Amino acid sequence: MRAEALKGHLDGLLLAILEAGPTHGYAVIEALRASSAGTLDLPTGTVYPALHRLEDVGLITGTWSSGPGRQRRVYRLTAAGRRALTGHRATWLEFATAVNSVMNGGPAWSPS
Amino acid sequence: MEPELSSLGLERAAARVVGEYLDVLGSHLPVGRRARIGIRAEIADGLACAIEGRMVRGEPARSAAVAAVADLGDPRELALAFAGQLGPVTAHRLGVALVGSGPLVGLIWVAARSDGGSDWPARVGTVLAAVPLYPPILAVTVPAAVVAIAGAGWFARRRPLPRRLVTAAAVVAAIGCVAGDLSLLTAAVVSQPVGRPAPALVVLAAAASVVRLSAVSWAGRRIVRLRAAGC
Repeated sequence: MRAEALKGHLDGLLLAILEAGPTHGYAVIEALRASSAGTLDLPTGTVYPALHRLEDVGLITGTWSSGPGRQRRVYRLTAAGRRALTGHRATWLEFATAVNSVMNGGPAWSPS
Repeated sequence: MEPELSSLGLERAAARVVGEYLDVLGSHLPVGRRARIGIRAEIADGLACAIEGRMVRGEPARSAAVAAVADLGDPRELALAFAGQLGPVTAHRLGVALVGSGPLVGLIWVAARSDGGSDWPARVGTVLAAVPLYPPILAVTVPAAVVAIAGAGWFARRRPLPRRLVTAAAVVAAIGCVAGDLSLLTAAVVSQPVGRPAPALVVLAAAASVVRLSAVSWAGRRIVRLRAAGC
């Protein structure tokens, strides 16, 4: 799926991946791919700047992992991030219900 | 091989491809040394993970590295994407620094004006009368700094502002701050009687202004570079 198709939803997806626990950038990309059975196979370069943006607004925090071997930046959800994820889920549910209704030729949709 | 690359534990052929990618990325990142090192290290780790994954599936090291960097995309575009994220944060930090340092520097200048007596409102009036440009400069700089602060953090979570607006506000705030400090310094020099040493508080206030305008000039130039990179 092209990155443009996810415009507006990427933040929610990244927060949802991080809800499972702290993880690093490449693992986020892999989890996104695995959770969607390969449908959400985004260009890797889309995800790293998005993670930095989420960190800048305080929805996630990033820390460098200590220990031997290469440096690794690990991201975790903040309390504000959890609240934002709840909002993203509600928005998505409303959007998906409306689109499904239209796509399936159902009755006119009205907001709940 | 650079320490950063040797710590990745990649075969030489793969490390060379990764190194070239990181060099192009680093050279196009309009950020400070610390941020550049951090971004390079994070991308290097991601590339190493991708290469290892491909090699486990049987790809040779070099083709795995070529595929991994291709998946990451053009390093110049990735640098631009990072710059786009860094602009509002840099603007936010500058805004916080200006709003935080403003009252302190202002207080030292007011304290340095002995001709206003012990009445502090009168001293403030004396400073503003000596530097008539200062009130209009403040009227522009403070709102611009507030807009810059709103570019990241708590405000941005609730009501994100356009990046170009935030960085433009930061540049305006930086120019205003430099103009304000220069006007204070000029007024102090002009009002200083020739042949008499300046009072210690005036020297302290001047030093505070010089430090602040130097730091703000440096930060302002960085934001201008980020804007030039498309932020």
